[in-house]
Amino acid sequence: MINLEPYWYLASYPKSGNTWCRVFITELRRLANLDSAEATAAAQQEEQELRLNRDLATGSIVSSRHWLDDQLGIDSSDLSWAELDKVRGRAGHQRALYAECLRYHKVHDAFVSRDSAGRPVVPVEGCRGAVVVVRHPADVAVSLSHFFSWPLERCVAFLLNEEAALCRSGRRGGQQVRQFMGTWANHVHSWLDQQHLPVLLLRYEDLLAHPHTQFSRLAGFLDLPSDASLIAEAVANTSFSTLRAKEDEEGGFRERPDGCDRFFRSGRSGEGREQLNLEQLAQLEKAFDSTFRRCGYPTAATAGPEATC
Amino acid sequence: MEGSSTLQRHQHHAFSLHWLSEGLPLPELPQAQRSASGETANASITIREEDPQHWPELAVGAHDTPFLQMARGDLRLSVEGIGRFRISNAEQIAWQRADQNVSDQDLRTFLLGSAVGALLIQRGMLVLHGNALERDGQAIVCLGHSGAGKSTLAYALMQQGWRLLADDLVAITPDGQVLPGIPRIKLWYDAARAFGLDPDVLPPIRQGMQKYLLLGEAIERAEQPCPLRALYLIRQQRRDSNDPDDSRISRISNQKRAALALRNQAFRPRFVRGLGQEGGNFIALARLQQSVPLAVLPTPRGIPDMQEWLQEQSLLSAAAQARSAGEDAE
Repeated sequence: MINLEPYWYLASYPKSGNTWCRVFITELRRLANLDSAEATAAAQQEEQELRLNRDLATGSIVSSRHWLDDQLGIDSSDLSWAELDKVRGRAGHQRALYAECLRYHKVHDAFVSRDSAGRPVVPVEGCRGAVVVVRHPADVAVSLSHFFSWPLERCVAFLLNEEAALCRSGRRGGQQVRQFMGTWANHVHSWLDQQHLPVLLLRYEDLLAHPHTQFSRLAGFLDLPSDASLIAEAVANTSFSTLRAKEDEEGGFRERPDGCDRFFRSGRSGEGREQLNLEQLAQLEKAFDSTFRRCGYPTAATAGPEATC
Repeated sequence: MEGSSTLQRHQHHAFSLHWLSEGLPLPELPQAQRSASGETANASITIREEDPQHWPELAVGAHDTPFLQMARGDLRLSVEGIGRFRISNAEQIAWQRADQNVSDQDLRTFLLGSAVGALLIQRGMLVLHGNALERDGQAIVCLGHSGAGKSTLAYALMQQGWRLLADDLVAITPDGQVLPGIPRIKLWYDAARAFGLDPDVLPPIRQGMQKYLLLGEAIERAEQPCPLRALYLIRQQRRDSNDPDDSRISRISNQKRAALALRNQAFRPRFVRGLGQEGGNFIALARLQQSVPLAVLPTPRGIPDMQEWLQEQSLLSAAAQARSAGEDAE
């Protein structure tokens, strides 16, 4: 089947700003009148049925079983994780039946997995590019600990774990398949080093510090309107305080797991350095030294003001 | 093996059809009974091994995927590392193993799901993705996507006296009868343990997987078609929800929402489109929606909580009696 419709990935380690980017895209498209109210509503209804992103209309997560079952023509839970990782990349893009706004797919998988035999875990045919969002792993650790209700120690170990994956249990079902990530650095490199898709690298820290510049880059990469006034309005409407207030107002965001107080919690950068102990920070710096350099995060040797990517 | 006259013939009865499998045993399906009255099923389906080289070429279809090719009356499915299947003319399933290491069990796993589902769709049946249970000669159908907890719910209901009509594939006749289908339940390791079953003594759905088959003696099955009284969409409750509405059964009375919800619960809508059965399917769904109440079933997480909650429900009548949720609520 030929995929005529363009699509993009928003690839990130969890808790790195993926959802924020997708909320921004939805808002920008709305402000630019790219999607009719009916199209957005239909897309949201579709999403709601999938129980994934109730408040978003950007396209489903690439690890969605519902989409894979449809593409593979079988119940994906009848395959082992290893068998599945070998075929996931051949699944077709989920066609935007209702609206163009479903063209931006969230993905937490590393680009290849231990089981995918070198093949991409995500489909690449017809894909226009991948927005790779990175965030300092110390801050990711703090955010993960709130999201999963895990102690910080466990989150640091997770970031360092070469076998780390989401939904990895082979003992229960679920609406998403296993998403292999490996260490935080493995995840980042897998996306930055792949040769199949053009990449736009965004740092969470830069999105916070220079939202207009960074979200303009995002809009440009996705072929979306990027004139300054539209970007400014979309940035204002999707600022952290606005999203947080909206979450309170609506009584919770759909992607918030059980036991997690709120999805849009702090949004700050630098919490990792306040909350992780020196040993944990040193562990991350040591293990991720080259990735820190590549992303412009300070290392033991370069301690000082952060460089930008 | 092809062409051999010594292939054992396995005869079964399911979905009110007679199934004849040449060479491949299908222990999940009930044995065909030769009744003294001479009553026979209304059609016979053949399942046999074939070399795909002998299959006619299919033009590329609008709904094809890299794993599926479809035309009216003909569906091809490839499962990497397992095998290939052709379902044709509403009466035959042909299969070929990817290699000799593929076990009968591996083949059956996909044959009894997608291939049988495709065949039922070719026969113009309304096929839903869920399970059907019977009590007092009447049926309910519980629907949900992969991972929604369908099988866990089916097993919990069976423990409360319901009998299993069908799991995974539910076929409904134009006059609203649920047909007895495949009487087996697939349970994940965690669910099996939570029900007090020992996974070590259960057959896995496939070698090496921690999902298990309950069949035969382990299943209380209903053997006759039953009138459908209620349709439920499974929604797992949030553990931290304080909203009492989240834990009550609510009717989906908005026609548009009910139609969309039901359409999304069809078994492999892509098969329906690719096989050119969308028109008939649309009419069958509309008829079903008019005659059977559809409600959201908010199942508590955790098996003990779910069992306790289910004991308080009267599922044959609850859907019809339930109030509608607000327009925006699920």
